[in-house]
Amino acid sequence: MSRKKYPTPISVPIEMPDDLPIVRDNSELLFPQDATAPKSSKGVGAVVVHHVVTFLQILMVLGLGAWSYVTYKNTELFEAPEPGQRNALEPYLVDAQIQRIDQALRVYEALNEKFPVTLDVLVEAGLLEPSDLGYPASSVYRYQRFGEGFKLEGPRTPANTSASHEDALIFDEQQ
Amino acid sequence: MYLHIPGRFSVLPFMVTLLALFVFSTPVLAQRDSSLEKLLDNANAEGKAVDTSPVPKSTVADVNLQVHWQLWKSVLQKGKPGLDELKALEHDGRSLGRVNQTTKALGVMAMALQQKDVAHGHEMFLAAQRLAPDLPYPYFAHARYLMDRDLAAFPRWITAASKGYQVAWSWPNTRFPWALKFLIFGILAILGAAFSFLIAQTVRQFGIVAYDLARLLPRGFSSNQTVVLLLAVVLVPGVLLKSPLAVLLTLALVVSVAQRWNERLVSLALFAVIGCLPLIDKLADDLASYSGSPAQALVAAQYVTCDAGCVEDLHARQQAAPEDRYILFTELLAEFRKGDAKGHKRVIEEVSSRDWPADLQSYVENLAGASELALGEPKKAILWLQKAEAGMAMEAAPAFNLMRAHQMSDDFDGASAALTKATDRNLDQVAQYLTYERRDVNSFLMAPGLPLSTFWDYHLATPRDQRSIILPYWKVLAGTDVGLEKATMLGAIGFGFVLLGGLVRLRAKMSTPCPRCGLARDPRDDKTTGAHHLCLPCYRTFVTGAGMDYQARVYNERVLGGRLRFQSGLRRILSVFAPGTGHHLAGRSLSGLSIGVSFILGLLLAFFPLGIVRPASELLSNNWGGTSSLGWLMVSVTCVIVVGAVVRGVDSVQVGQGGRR
Repeated sequence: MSRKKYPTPISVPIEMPDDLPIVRDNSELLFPQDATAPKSSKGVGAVVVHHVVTFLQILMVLGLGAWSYVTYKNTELFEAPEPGQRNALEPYLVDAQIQRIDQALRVYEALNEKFPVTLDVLVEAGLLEPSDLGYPASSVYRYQRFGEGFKLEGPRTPANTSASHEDALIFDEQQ
Repeated sequence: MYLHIPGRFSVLPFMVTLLALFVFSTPVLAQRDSSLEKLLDNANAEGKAVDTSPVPKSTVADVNLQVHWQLWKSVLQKGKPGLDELKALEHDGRSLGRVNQTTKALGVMAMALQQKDVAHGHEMFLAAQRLAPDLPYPYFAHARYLMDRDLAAFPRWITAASKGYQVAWSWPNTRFPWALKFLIFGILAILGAAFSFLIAQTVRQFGIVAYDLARLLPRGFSSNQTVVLLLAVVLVPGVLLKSPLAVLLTLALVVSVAQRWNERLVSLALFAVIGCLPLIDKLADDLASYSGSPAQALVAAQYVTCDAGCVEDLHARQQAAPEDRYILFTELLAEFRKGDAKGHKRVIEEVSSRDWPADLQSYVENLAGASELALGEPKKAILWLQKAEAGMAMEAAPAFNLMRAHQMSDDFDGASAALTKATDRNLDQVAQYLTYERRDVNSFLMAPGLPLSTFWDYHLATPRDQRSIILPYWKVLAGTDVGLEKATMLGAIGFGFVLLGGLVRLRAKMSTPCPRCGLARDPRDDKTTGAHHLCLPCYRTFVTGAGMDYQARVYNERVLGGRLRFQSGLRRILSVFAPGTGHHLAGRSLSGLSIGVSFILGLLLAFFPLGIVRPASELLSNNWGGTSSLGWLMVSVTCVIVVGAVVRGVDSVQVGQGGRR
């Protein structure tokens, strides 16, 4: 692979009118500066600023990350919310999951004429997703089949202690 | 970098065609339906024997439904779709007042999905849709089934999917969880993309701001001192407030000074979202708390079924809140659907003797008119129904009942006019009721539940404990000293600052990043460079380099070329780790935001398609409405752009005189 050859600047003298900025460079070409004189360092200050800034930015981002982490972990540095507060949605999710499992149980019963022995059967039948039985995280739903009905209870976590969420859904076809 | 795909592979025309087909599919594909016209002609037939006797209650019992269901299952085992059994199930269910037989419809849908014979499957899906006309899932499943097995049925699956989305939008049990899903995921995606924007803007603009501040400060301040000063400005408020968020927002404000207008728009969007967080928090709580709420119980009672336990529950709630007309209406509707003369009389008495809210008025008048008809009083019914008709402009029910009233009064012209009006308002609903040939209150007369939007208003009005979904996470980020209620103020301040900062930009006094080396392009050099978009060193090297000293030019090209490669490499690398960041770094912020939002939202939809509150009837699949597919599509499109950005690089925008490109 051959490099494309460009003519050297010296071989291309350009004559430009005086009012264009390029003339300054051409004049330098026509009247070369003393080689021993120190070269101008235009833009060097900006380079220094830029690199210092980049370095400090990286430090700042790392610092912010560490700060957020220790805050979340409720260390002595700063305060973090109580564990129960993080689960504001949980009671709603549990309500919805109980309705969802209940619906799946009814569809299963409609097709198979009996309720499943365990909730895992609903997952094996494809009615529910595997994650449904543990959603929201670490929730466990207690299910008990009896006669022609079932009892389905939601988890009782510290965040799930309000009256409306002490769910025990009982369904009995004989009633 | 612009997304450049050769014309023949262009996504845009393809998307536009799909969209056009999707939007216009229903009217384009509309055909004459001979069976429907026959039904309408029959309903309109002059000289039919007039039955003026009261409309009786249903003669169907629950056991009939079980018999039909068992029969259907046994027929299905023999390899037939069992459409007659499903039709009997639908009609008997309707006769009992079961508006949506959700469980049965989902059961039929589950079996239909397994059908190898496409014609059978298609018919079973239609039957499932009739069993639960307000449930969107049979429509979506129908569309997916046809898509998998019969690509030639393209119009049909497009129509089914389109109808599915319409129904999903109307059905609260689907609409609210979906709205919550898109709200939370959308906010997360915007905030995630905004964070990558902030990081990129810091790298791109912080040095520029520091350079300009160094120009502005009195002599004696070194460049490093200026940077330290600026960092102190960013960090000190956050440290004092113990708030990482305050640091980030101050940083956003600082870098916004040098932003172009497209970057400024993204900053404005970020502050707008932060300002709206309290509002979003309340909306999210309203949406999340719908599940298991009294409003949802009313929807179930009006649109699914209301058995003895439900009636008892309604009665108890009515006793507890005697002024709640929505509960009373639901109770009266359940009473009407039972079909007893005593119940009809109670409906008329309650409707006549009480004041009703404006949004309920027409519905209770229709219910009273239908009750009069059930009692064999068409003249009295007409008075109620004419009043109801005026207030229910979009509902077929009062006009349809009016038709029945005129038929019972032997008024052919009146019945014909009422039927025309009813079909004008809702042809599907009228056609559905005309197929019910039985003469009982639920098949012969229309008594719809309240409009589904009413339940949202009811839910909002129901007192309950407000739970903040955002607050715990807000505290982690903003610290305990900056409450969520201050978010609106913070957002407003930031929004105003960024907007007013645009004035500085308009005066073109700020430096801009050089598109080649990324360092400050000083506007004072405009006279020298002719307002070229490059900074002075780059201009001298790459534009007027021919006039430079040879050694100086070689040196400059090496140094500046290294910076160019560093900038380009950084954009490519950041594009891989955080899609969109490379675009932000190149000054293409709207593209960067779109890519970032699309990527994060796509990932969330792809991995959590069921959303946050999982709807009860979204069984058998996690890709309802193509949520997961949409997520993967978004991720895929983003990945294509990212690959393009990595391979071809992302060109930096060129800012010339006056801060214009």
